[in-house]
Amino acid sequence: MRRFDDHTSIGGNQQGFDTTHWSLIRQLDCPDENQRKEVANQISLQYWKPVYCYLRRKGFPNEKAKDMTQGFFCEVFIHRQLAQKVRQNQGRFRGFLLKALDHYIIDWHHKEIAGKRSPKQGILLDIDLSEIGELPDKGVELPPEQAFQYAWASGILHQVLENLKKASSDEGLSVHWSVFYAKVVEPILNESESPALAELCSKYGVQNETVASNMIVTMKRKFQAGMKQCIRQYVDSETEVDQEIGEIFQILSKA
Amino acid sequence: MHEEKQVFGLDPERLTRLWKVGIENPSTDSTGETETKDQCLARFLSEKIRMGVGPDTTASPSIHEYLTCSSTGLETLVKIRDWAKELSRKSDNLMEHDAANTIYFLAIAYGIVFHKNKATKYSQDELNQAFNRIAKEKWIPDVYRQLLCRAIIP
Repeated sequence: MRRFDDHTSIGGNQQGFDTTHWSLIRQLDCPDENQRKEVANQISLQYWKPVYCYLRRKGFPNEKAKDMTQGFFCEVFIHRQLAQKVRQNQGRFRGFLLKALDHYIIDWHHKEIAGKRSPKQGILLDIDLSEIGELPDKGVELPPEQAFQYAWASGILHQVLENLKKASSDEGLSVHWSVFYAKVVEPILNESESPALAELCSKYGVQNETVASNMIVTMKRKFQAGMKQCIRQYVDSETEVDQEIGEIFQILSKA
Repeated sequence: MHEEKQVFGLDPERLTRLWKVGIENPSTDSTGETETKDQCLARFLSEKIRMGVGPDTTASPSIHEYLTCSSTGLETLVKIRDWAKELSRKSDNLMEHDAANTIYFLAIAYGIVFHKNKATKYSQDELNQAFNRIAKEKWIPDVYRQLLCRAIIP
């Protein structure tokens, strides 16, 4: 298994690039079907929403898009040959997934035309399809590729916020988290006015505005480190982390 | 999954703003997208500016500490005033410009209140107008609002 020598401690994690989604995908090469299912499940839990958004914007109706989302992860990811292809096709996991999805759609059409598509077979994954109803209209209105990127970025931000909240609690920084969330995150999520620092000091028992501001800076740094750590999971090297962050930002800005 | 529902429900513009939190330098957050004026002011107030010829140490008081204790000397105030004036001149966005100007007037207000010295060419009437205007801003911490009000001389 490859370990990159250019790993840095930026982002605060102590792990190299040997625990990325690429290494997960390589595990799909194993003969044990249950293990392959577990790996596919891990990947699908994180990425089924971008896949579903993409399929919807490709014109597939809701029910069909749901079936195809399941089918994509079951058929493509549990298929043994995928792991072998990955060895020659490393790059960004985001692009890889999108390409694999396009191939799956073509294959799906061919089978549909030939009447060879069998109804729901194989191993069903633990994707909670009930969440599909909560996907935002905005994300589904975008062109297919942008809808995919939108859902992809949403998933990363969700994961970063969840991880940050948990890490803050574990590290005894719950007040930091609350101040950061109230000042920076909540106004964006709720489109509300950002509360004054003095108000937050009073609400969370913070000594003064300077301390509160420093708490926010600390949490922003942790947010950034968390984002890098999250993205590190699906790129090849440390240099690609910043590139990926910048690229997704450009994509979102144009949406 | 409280945040997940909300993050997935964001329009692309807000999602971009949230993504931007992961890009901006948190200590020089100058776009105004995620940092607000009170936060910018607090950031400047937490700075430790060079007061002597020797190296500054982390034990040096911050501007906030100088402006909220009652024993800061006039020479220190002049340094804070000049630092704020330079910061205001160099700022390329309105928020930092306003926050720097506020510190400039806070240093002058402190001089009037504790040293009976206005340390500026501005007339007292002009200062009164500036103090009054800044004191009305909701992003001004109470401790500074009180200082500005005390420096208003009818």
